[in-house]
Parts: sequence; structure tokens; C-alpha cells
Amino acid sequence: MSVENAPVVDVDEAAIPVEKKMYYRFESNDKKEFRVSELAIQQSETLNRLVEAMGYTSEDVENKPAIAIENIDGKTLKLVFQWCEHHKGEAIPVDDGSVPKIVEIPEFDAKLMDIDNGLLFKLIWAADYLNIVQLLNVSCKKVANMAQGKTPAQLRRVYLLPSDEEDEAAKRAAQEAQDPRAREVEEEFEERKRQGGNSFF
Amino acid sequence: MPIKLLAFPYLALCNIIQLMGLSSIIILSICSRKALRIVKSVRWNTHIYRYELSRTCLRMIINRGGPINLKFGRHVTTNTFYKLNDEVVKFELEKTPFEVRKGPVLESKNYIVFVSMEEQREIASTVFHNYIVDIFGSCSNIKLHIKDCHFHPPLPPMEALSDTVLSGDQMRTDYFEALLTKYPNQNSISIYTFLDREPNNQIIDGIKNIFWRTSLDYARLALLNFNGNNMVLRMANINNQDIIQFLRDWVSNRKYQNLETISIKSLEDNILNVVEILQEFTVFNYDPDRRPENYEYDPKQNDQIN
Repeated sequence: MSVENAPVVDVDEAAIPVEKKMYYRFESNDKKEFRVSELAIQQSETLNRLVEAMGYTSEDVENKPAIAIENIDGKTLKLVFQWCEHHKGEAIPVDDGSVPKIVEIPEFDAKLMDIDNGLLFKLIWAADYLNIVQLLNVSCKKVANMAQGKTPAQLRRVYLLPSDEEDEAAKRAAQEAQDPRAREVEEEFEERKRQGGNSFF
Repeated sequence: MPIKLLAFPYLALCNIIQLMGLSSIIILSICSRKALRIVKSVRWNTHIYRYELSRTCLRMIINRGGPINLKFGRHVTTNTFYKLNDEVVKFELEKTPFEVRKGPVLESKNYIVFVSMEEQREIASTVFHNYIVDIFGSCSNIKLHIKDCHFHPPLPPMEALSDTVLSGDQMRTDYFEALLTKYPNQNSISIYTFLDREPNNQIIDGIKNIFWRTSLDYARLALLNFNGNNMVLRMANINNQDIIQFLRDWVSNRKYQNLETISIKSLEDNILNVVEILQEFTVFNYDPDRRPENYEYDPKQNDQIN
């Protein structure tokens, strides 16, 4: 099934599903609404528990407001639900602790994740937040693959890794921002040490 | 477009690192102290280290991943065997210099190797091994395969080496003795190479399982001095008296208290006379009620690396 044909439905363009399955309604933080099948929701441990706890009937789903997902935007949520619909009914992998982890990216997932890194970043956050194990695996695998064959300098650029000096500077800046007096005291202490003083006080 | 790795939630970050190749993990760890801390904080669940030592390379495999290749170059910076990167990347571990390079031209573009100077190969192997154990954790299952025994590569100091495979044309016996002195009490040793003289007869004392494909004249020594559990001797130059002596000691429980299985194949022109051997003992017909027809032999007892 192609990414375009994945059965996630934006409410404004949707046809009501013919099957007698329950379709839940979710709303992103930018007010985009999605209908997602009960089976697809099972891929997300967080959503699955949520809908179980709510105990909605078919009427509730239609009559009550869509379930709000506050911290995921519509563009990301659409990818998430496309993925869940495509993989609905599949077993959720259990982490057996094997290292290195072996994860293959299926063709559908590769196409789905043919997106810019900004959106990929949000997708991983969403998969983590919604606890969608296999989506998290494949999206993390895509990020892990970026390290392949890279030198340390290339890796720093790809992953925006700060150097030790930059880390130190950021730490100092954070400390100063928190307590400007602490820095002054530290400098005074260093100065006294240089002058050979035994006691600060 | 880059992606900010350290801004991922911690579990996702660990997941990403666990999904990287081992070389990438090492490279990530040398990017900064913070990156090293994060890499070390990942739960690695290491259960086996495999090392392949050859004349030019120490190859490390952790669990089933890898490999990490540490190559030894004569002059690190002028070695033309490797395709140069845009930048030659140098780094130090415990004051020992290393470089990161692309792999040999004929291999995959994404193949990364670590390079150390040949004259520092012993210290470099040690430092690298320690660094890897520091990241991935220690483990009691360490296997070493020395591929080019005739080059006698320096032995890296590894605690808890459990299994060794020796291959190549010929090996000096003093090197073999040094190996077993350095790594005594191993679970298994598999020997595919030829020794240049008979080894010291105490040397195999602590080995539990031996597979000796090229035992030749040393089969007798191995047979009469073995204290372990399982032994396989191939190309054995051994006579009836040796077998009789061995069987007497085993049956009388004077020696070989740990022995479970033994298999000996003699050289073609040295055929043992079974009738003559059995005449020395009181033998009974096989009784399936007393012993099973087949003995379940666990091939992992002689866990060969290749």
C-alpha cells in the first residue's frame, strides 16, 4: 500500500467508513481532526490505554468532541496515523535487549519518512510520546543510519553535537543566568587563591 | 539538513545509539565528553566479545554487531592504502594516537577503520580494548581468533579470555606457550595451525575443551596430559600403547576425572589396531539399557569462531 493510499482520513475530506468498525476522532494541537480505526490505535500503547479508559461507544465517538492531543501538530499526527493504519494488526515488537538492535525499514515506512529532518524529529517525539514501539524503532533507525561512514567532524555537523568547549561555555552561561553572584564569588575565590590566601573568609 | 541528536527524549536517544553500527558508536563517543557519557549510559547487554587478530588488523565484534576494525599502519599519516577523508581525523585514547579513516578503496564507502601505528600495536590494542569494555561493559565470554599465527601478532591483554582459535600456516611453539600462559583456564582452544616443536606438557592443564586438528606427534602429549572435559584430536600420530595407557588411566579413575568425550582420528598410515587394544580390557557387548545409543555432544563446547 502506498503512503498516499494509507487510510488515515482528514475529517473534511473523509468518507464515512463502510465497515462496522469503531473509528475514533483525534484532534492535533493545530485543530486538525483525524479518524483512526480501533485496530490502528492498538499500535500506540498510550492511545490504546486512553480509549480503553474512556470506554466510548460508537455514538460517543460521533457526538463527543474529538480527543485532543495537545503537543503534536497535524502534519506529524497525520504521519503517525498513516503509519498506524498501515501496520494495524501487526504484533508489537518486544525489546529483547539484544545489541545491536536489528531493525529493517520497510518500503512503506521509508517512503513515509521521506521527509525533512525537522518533521522526522517531531515524528520521533510523537512516536515516543504515544509509545508506538515499531514506529519509534524505524524512525530512530533512520537517524542512526545518518552516522554511517561519518568521521567525528562530520558527525558533529550531522547531529549538531557541541564540542567540549561549547558544552563548558553553555554550562557557564546557564550557571550565570541562574545566579550571577555565584560567578562573582567564584572569580573572587580564584583571585584570592592566586594571591596565596588560605581562607576565603 | 542536520538533526539535533541530543534534543531527543532520552529513551529515543538510547534507541538511536543502539541502532547505530559499532564503529559509529565509537566515533560518536569521541566527539565530546558529553557524547561519551551518553553512549556509556545506554544499556548494552553485552554477552560476547569476539576478537580476530591478524598481521594488519584487530577486528572486534560485540554480540552479533560490528565489526570494529583497528588497522595497524607502518606510518599512519602516509598510508595510502586507505582513501583519505577530506580531513584526517586524529584522536587520542590514554595518550595513544589513533586515526579514523575510510576503509580500503575496494570496500564499501561507508566502511570506517581506526588506524594505529604498527610499532604501537600492542599498546593500541590494549587501549582500544579497554575503551570498548569501558563503553559496552565487561563480559566473561571473550573469544580470540588469531588468524595469521605465523606472523605471531602481539597478544592483547584481555581478562577472562574464554575461547581461542589458532589458524595459519605454522606457529612457533614458544608463541603458543606464551598464549596459554597469558590466558590460562580457557573454556576451549581450537588449533588449526602447525607447531614447530613439542610444547611443554603442562601447558594444556587448565583447558576444558580442545579441538586439535593438526595434533600429529603432539597428540600423545595432549592425550596423556589432558585434564579437561572434551578432546578432539585429528591427524594424530599415536600408537596402540598410548591408547591402552590412556584407557587404563581413565577406566581406573586414576586420571581424567573430568573427561566426558574424546575423539581421535589417526593419520592414514598410522592405523590403530582395535582388536589388540581391546584384548587388554574386559569388554562387554553393547547394552542399550545401560547406555544410550547416541551421546548428545554440544558443539558449543568447542566454540569455534569462524
